[in-house]
Amino acid sequence: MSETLHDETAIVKMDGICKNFGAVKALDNVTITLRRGEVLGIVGDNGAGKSTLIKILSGVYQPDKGEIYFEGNKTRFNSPIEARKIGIETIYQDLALIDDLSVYHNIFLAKEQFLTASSVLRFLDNKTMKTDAGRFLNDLKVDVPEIDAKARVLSGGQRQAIAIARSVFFSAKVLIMDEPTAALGVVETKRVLDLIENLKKRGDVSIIIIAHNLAHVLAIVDRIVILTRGKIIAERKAKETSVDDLTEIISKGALDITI
Amino acid sequence: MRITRPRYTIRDFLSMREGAVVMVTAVMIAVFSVLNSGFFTIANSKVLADFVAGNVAVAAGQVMLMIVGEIDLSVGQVYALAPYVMYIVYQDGLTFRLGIPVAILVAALVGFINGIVTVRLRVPSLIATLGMGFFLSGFNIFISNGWYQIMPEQEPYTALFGGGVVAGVDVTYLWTAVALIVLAIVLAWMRHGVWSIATGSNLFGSREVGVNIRRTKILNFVLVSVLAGIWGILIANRGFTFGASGVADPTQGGDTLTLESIAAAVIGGTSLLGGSGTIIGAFAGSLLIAVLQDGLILVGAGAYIYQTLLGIAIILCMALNVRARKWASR
Repeated sequence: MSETLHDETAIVKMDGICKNFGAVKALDNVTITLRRGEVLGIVGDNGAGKSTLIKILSGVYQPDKGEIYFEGNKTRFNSPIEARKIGIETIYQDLALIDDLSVYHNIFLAKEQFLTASSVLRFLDNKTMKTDAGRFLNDLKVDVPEIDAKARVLSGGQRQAIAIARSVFFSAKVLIMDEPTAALGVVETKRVLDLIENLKKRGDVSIIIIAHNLAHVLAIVDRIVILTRGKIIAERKAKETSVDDLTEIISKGALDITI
Repeated sequence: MRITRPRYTIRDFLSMREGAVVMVTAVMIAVFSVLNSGFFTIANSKVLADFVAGNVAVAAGQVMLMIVGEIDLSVGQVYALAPYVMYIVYQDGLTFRLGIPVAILVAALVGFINGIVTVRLRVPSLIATLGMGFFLSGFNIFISNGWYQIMPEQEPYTALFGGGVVAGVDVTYLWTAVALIVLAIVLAWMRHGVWSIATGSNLFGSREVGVNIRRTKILNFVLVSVLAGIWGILIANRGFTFGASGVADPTQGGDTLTLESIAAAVIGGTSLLGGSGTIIGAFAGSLLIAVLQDGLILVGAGAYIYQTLLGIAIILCMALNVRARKWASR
């Protein structure tokens, strides 16, 4: 395989990915492309291989076979830290925020701003962090009670929105969201979907969304791929498909392979 | 984003973890002042200050460690060990100029070992430091043959480390004020403070984002141990401030100091589960214990019964503390 990929529109290409867990073929020759500024949905039943696929992209697992191209260059991540370094961020719903820290300290956690540039005794520039975080959340229309409120008091949707905003703030190029609306109420779900919509308009980040809820996915994605038992069985443009269409593909695909 | 301007009320004050204990302490001071005219006097405030200055810095260090979700049960033994190490260095013909740094390094080493055993060997800190406490209490008796030693006077070190009085103020008070202010600054304006809260509040989430949770924990183990060592030295030299001699006593501090430091931290609102705690809370907790001890003696509770009453009072104060917070957050 070549070291580079001559496709300017693709930010990520996962090519011929295989992953086995013992005798189980979790992923079988999966090829998937994420275009710049695109929101891509990955759907499929439980055990279809969605989580394995994104865990490979976020550096948690290494593929048995196949290549990952990022911005045209062949890459390999040995850990999530390596993936994050080049701009691939994964949003985990439960792990995301620190309850006992303020919203702005959460946003700047492990990326703190200091008053003095280089010395052993560095003091935090709380004022700048507060203003910058506030302005950024405002830009993204993320609604929080107070910028110095503890994360503990936030609702599920606000937490999710702040976790997403945090990654974008630190110039993530690719955002991976695993079930971003699971366990959220109607209003809260809308909050998160609106944020994804805003990010799409800004266009500086490409997003992969994994979800069970087909209606939620369809509302915000540009394109959708359907995984079944470790294989991609279909790909649709969001405009050209419907929840019923997708449901049929998923159930039929599952049936085909079983028989 | 909507920004609503907050209005602070008495309820907000009480709903803060350390707010209620400040209130309870104030009530206790009022009660003892009414019961005994000797309580609210300058002479007695010196008694209270001596008690608080003896343990509040260690309690504040304990707060830092409890914020990351750990605890140190060996601080009381380090408190006895450090002055003794200083004495041994002197006995070998060297001065305190070397003795004090060596004693502080030994204290730091104890904290470092506690941290490594907890973080690397994954022994819960409750057990790791319990073991260290037993080890050191035996070790202290062993190196001292179970006997105290009169501290020599070596200036300026003796005066600087607990034996001196500056403008009528015991140097230990100054050290205490500096330690509390520095720790409060660390918590609010330094990365280590934010990382400590993050580590204790959400261990895996913090690590995921890039917080060095191991180093953060180990630093706090070292911190509380160093504070225990320094305050052990300060208190060992205290005798010089009132014309007596300093004493290196292998039973100084001990389990009483360990328990007082934890009690002060917890009464001051520090969560046993990690993630929250304040330095002002440690101060209020330490002051409350001091007020109870001193107040009970002044109102004539006999020496034999007074610890029993102290125990009951601590539990009652905590219950009151919890009630006040519940009321405030209703």
